[in-house]
Amino acid sequence: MNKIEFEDKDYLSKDKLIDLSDIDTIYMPLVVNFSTDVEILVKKGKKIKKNDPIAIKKDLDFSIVSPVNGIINDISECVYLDGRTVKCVVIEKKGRQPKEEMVEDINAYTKEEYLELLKKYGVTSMGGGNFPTYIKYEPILKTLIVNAVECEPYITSDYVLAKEYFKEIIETINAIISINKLRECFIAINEKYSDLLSIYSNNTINYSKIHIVSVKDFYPIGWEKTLIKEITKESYDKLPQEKGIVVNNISTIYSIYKALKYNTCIDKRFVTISGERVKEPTNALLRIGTNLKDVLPNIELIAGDTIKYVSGGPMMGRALPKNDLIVTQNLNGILFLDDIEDKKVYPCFRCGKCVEMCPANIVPVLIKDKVNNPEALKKLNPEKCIECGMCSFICPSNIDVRSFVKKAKRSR
Amino acid sequence: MKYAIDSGPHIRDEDSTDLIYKRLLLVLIPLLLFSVYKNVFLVFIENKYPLLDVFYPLIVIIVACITSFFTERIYLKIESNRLGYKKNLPFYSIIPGLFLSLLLPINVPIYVVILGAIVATLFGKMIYGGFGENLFNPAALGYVIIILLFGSLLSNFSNYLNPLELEKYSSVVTLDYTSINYNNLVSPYGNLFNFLFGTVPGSIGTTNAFLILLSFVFLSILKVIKWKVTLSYLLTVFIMTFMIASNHGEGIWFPIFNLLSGSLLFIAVFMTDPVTTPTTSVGQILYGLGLGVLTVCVRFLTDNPERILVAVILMNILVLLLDRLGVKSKQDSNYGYIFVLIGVIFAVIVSYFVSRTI
Ligand code: SF4
Ligand code: SF4
Repeated sequence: MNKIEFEDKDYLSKDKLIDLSDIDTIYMPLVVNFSTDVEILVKKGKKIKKNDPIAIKKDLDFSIVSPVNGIINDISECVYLDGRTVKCVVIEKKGRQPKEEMVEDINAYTKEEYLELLKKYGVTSMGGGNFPTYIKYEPILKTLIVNAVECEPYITSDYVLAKEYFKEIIETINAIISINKLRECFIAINEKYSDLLSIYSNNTINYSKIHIVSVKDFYPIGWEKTLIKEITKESYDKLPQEKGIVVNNISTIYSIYKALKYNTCIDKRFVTISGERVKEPTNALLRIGTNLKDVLPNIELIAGDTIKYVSGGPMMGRALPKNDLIVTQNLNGILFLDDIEDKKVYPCFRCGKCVEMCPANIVPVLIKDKVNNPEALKKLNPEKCIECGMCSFICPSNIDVRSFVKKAKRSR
Repeated sequence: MKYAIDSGPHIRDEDSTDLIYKRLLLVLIPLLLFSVYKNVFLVFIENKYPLLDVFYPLIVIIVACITSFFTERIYLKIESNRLGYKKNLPFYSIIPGLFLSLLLPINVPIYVVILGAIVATLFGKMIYGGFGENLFNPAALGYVIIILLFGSLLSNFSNYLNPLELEKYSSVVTLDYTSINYNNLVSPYGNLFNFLFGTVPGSIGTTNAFLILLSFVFLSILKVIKWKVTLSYLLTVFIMTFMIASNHGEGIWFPIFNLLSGSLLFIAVFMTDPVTTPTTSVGQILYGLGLGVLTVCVRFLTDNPERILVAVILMNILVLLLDRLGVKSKQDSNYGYIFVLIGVIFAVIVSYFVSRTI
């Protein structure tokens, strides 16, 4: 019974779009795969071209690239979507921006060229993770699963992208299949998006290897393990690559498209701006590296007392103390929510609801009890936690069980 | 505008611990009403017993609740800085006393009730840090202390009879499960339906099996109790006593009688509270199994069949161990099947052994 069916909040932002990408100051947080252990390659005052590396994470052999032509203005600090304050490179967009040149046949790349392009143009997961995509494609693969399920309430940025760019997405998927010699591809679409389902079904009739799957709307269907289980009935231990499966978010596919078709990095993305405190929830086209402080004046909020400013969805996202969050590839939404009033915390009475809920099959309540006992934690596998927040969601005592599990995870 | 910092999740399930315990108390109301009907109202309309005797069961319940309430209050006063937040939960504090009183014989002296309720609240709950922290089921602990100090009180059958029943059943002797004889066990009280609907002698609030089963259904649907514990317990007792009965050439009436008599259903539903049972599914199933095996042992191998709450206390000690097995089974469900299988085999062996000895 480890699923939650949420009330639909997507209708708020689903069909609205504004373009707020006209911005000149770009902030690039120096984070790769949630690690800040990266080496800066640029100096203040120097010119930089689009797609030039800014910083490199050596152990993953992966660079963060500049999304614009401009000048390095500063090396300072900014807020990353997980709430940390991290180092960032500030770029002032200047001069002529490069013209995008189109590659005619993107099926012609070899696998080596393909990996090189993904690496060179800084393609990372756009669904929330921050993992270099090329690494996922290194092994021999048989199946690609395109994740377009968006199981967190409110967030519709993938939906908007999937609808807007379906031709590009299908072209790219077809190329990925032939470059990587895949046997099949499943595009997983949430059953609640019937329009997407028909668009994709109608446009993939001629592609025998591409299958459209309608998946049930529950949380956390967007998690790789749950999604794979639903679609191919397979389960894996640590990584889907064990079974020759690669899972990409549909927005990541668009980022791959940019790399293959135009040999450039992704420089804009859709970000859902929603929540009860937003007057007109919408999806915004934002430049990667935008400081939200610079565009938020365009968004009208409903005044009132304390507000929650959440990066990401209501389950996984964090409420941040300041509004100067940076738009990164993996930021899919910004929510303005009411501060939940009634969150009185009761003692844990060992009801076991968190245990029933946990999709990672660990036992949150015992991890909470043993959080300061590293020896006992060894047997409880807190490292398997995917931080989905379902234990905290369900806890009738309103205990933030997830934060205990996270702490246990870190202490190992 | 102020920003709230919060690691989320930013939406929460509506259910709360407060509501869960309110539901528990609400579900108890029919049971209380039935007890009052059987032990007070029916006696009252005879119009020939002293009023104190008539209202005595009600007095026991109220005294137990009040004692429990004030024990917790006073403890919190003394220890207030350590347990500050628990002050918000006043109505839970009657639970140990309330449950204890429902389990006691009708003619229990008031001082025993008070002592039991104090022990239940203080040693069963508060010294561990209050609600949610306790190792033992508070009411069960209070009951076990009463067994230790006033054992004969609980094994004396006449203590379970209200004034009306005293007249009616003066010749009947104590329940002896080992006799496995319908004429001894059931016939004196009518038939099994009397046990189902609670019109037989017994503890103050635990005789109406039908209402307890109904509560079980409600509490399971409302997610108040861990139904896996209750169900695996009842199944274990049923199957074991069924085997014992078959070995003695008796039929289905015997396992049913075992479930309906001697507060067993009440214990299965209300004394397996969330706090003192495992949190993992396999742990819960094993807990029920173990409790079932111990219950059968208490009933058939000791002279005091009313003491199955001792089994509850013993099982409480094993909760952490059972949860460890549960964790293992979560990592690999094959373990779960193996553990449960071992438990079942164990129960079968015990049944065989028991039916040989009696
Ligand atoms: S859900 Fe909350 S109250 Fe229930 S066991 Fe888990 S932490 Fe304890
Ligand atoms: S946050 Fe972690 S521990 Fe909690 S339910 Fe999700 S996976 Fe399990």
